[in-house]
Amino acid sequence: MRYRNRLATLVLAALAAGLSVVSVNAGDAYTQHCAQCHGESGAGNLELGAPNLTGLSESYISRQLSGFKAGWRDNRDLQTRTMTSAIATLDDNSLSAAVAAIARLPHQKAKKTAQTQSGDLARGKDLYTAYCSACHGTNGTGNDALGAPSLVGLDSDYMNRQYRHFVEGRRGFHPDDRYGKQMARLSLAVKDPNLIHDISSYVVQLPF
Amino acid sequence: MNKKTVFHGFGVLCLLLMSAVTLGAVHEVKDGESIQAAVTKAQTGDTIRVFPGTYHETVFIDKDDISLVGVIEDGEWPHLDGEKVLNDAILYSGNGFSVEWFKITQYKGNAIMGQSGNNFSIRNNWVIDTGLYGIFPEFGHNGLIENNILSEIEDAAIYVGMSDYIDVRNNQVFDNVAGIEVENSRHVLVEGNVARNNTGGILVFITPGLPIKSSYDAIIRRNFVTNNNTPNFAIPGSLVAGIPSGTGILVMSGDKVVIEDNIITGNNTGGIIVTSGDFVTEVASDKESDPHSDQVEIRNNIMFDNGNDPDGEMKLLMLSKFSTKGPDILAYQSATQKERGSCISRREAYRSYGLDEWTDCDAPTVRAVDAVVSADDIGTTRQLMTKMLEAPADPRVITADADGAEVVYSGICAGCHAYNVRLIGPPALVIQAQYGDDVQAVADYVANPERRRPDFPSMPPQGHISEEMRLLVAEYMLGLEG
Repeated sequence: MRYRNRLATLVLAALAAGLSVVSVNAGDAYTQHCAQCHGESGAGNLELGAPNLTGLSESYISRQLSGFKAGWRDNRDLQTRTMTSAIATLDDNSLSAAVAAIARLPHQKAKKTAQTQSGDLARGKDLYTAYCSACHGTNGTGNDALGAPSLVGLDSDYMNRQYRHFVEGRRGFHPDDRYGKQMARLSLAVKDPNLIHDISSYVVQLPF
Repeated sequence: MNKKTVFHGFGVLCLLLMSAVTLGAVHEVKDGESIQAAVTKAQTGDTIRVFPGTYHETVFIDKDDISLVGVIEDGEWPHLDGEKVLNDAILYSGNGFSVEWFKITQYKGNAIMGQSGNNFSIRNNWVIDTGLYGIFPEFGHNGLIENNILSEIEDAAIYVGMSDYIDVRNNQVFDNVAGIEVENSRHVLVEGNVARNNTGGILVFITPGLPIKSSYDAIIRRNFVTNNNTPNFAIPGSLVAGIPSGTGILVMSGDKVVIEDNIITGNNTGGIIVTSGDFVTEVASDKESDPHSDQVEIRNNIMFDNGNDPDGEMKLLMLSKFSTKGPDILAYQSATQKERGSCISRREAYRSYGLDEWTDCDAPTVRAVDAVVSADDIGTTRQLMTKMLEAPADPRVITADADGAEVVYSGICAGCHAYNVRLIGPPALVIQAQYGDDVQAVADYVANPERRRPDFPSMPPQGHISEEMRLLVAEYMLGLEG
């Protein structure tokens, strides 16, 4: 409970800082609207639940941002609520400027979480190969042609949370979220949700 | 009418029937001409003779009882050359197909693939680097694969896939990832082959998530399985990429497998490995497949010099058994259990692990009198000459309905797509998520596939299948449940 309160304060503070300045310069767009949570380098912030953005493709990021705008990314938890409000006031130009800036950020390694090292890597690799590699790629680097984001550089907390959201119908539920719907359906293929820890443990150690 | 007359009458009838089968027309194809054009002209029962020359084409045979015969002159072979552009050299779905005396090189998918045709014969072909598979009869009954030479194949050189009553005899396979694979197949004799310098020599196993769920009744006999130490060069992520280099014979989930009278030497990981389905992948989640290897009999094999340098995880496994060397014979995972009912002859002769609970089986002395055809059964398989059927299997008929779609799916698609395991193409499960119930989109895609997965091979176009059938097959695939 104390942790959650602290988190909320941090997020709100970051958000307030972001909203206090309005500018559309490409470089600045990221610094002003995203860096408060995702960090200057884009490597993300485990405490805030903000993912590493530096491995994600331009098309994936801009699709998700439109999702937050259009309401097909839900806003039932602090992270998604924060994202929704963080970009609510930004016009299309500012959004594209931010996306362009993110695309230029150098790759940052995945942050290590408490769970990271606990999974069974061999099992994770087998499961990843069978269920994930056909879209996210053998090396985890994603496939824009299939709408599958790169997973390299993402922390395991973030991946586990997103997976849970897909399973629970909180992500990939909207008809306009074509690729999210595919992921939601596939997420059910991993029958035992505990196995996602093995998969994410395998993925976090994949190199760029 | 006396008995003799009846007999003679029967004889004449037989001759008439035989001539009806053997006296089909003969078509000749010369260098610069098209083999496919001759197939198009041919009718059931015809023979096509192909003369020396280089042929850049894919030949489809969907008629029954066609014989494709290469003519070799002064050592010059008819040569099918895919130039690494074409996917397949010969695709047959007709029954009673024979192909012999071809040199086949540089295709991306298969040299010779059977797509559900029964009663086939594939002999005397010389296959080099034809991509994923060399000779691959899929979903066929009653076939002979004999006297072929295959090398440089990045998955299996000879792949008996979901097929029953098959003899694989006297072939030579080398420099491939897998030499000979018997996968989800029943009643198979693998005899007298040379499997050398592959990653793995001879493999009997179940791939989970395919329409045929079992692999049993295989005899692996009198083969030379030597020096299979080629580093694994399969596509990363594919199932065979998990086979340790240095594997002589691998039995994984196969039942009733007899391994008898082979010469197995110089395989650096191990001579014979018997294990369960989770050896190569832990995703063996096919509830209809039994992952255990039951009733394996290992008898009277000559084995030495195996296990000199175990590959990867196998090295760690052997270190855990206080050995730096790999074994002649290793039973691993559930294959060690007594209830599997496996047996070993002359166990003391081999360096082996995990066989403590296996029973002893007999490897009797074979005297000269025991070796003749009329000899009594002395408890070996030597009386058994073939696993093929005495009478031909019923021809496979493909009807324009859901049953036909299942045959086409099994005969073509399942060669690369399992339900929830990555073979060559993406699993059916992924396709289902991608397309939902959009049957038309799948039917259109397979006719003109565009490559969208850079780490997977290109899907070969299936435009030769009618749209009606493509729609039926797409519906079948999107409705699969494991």
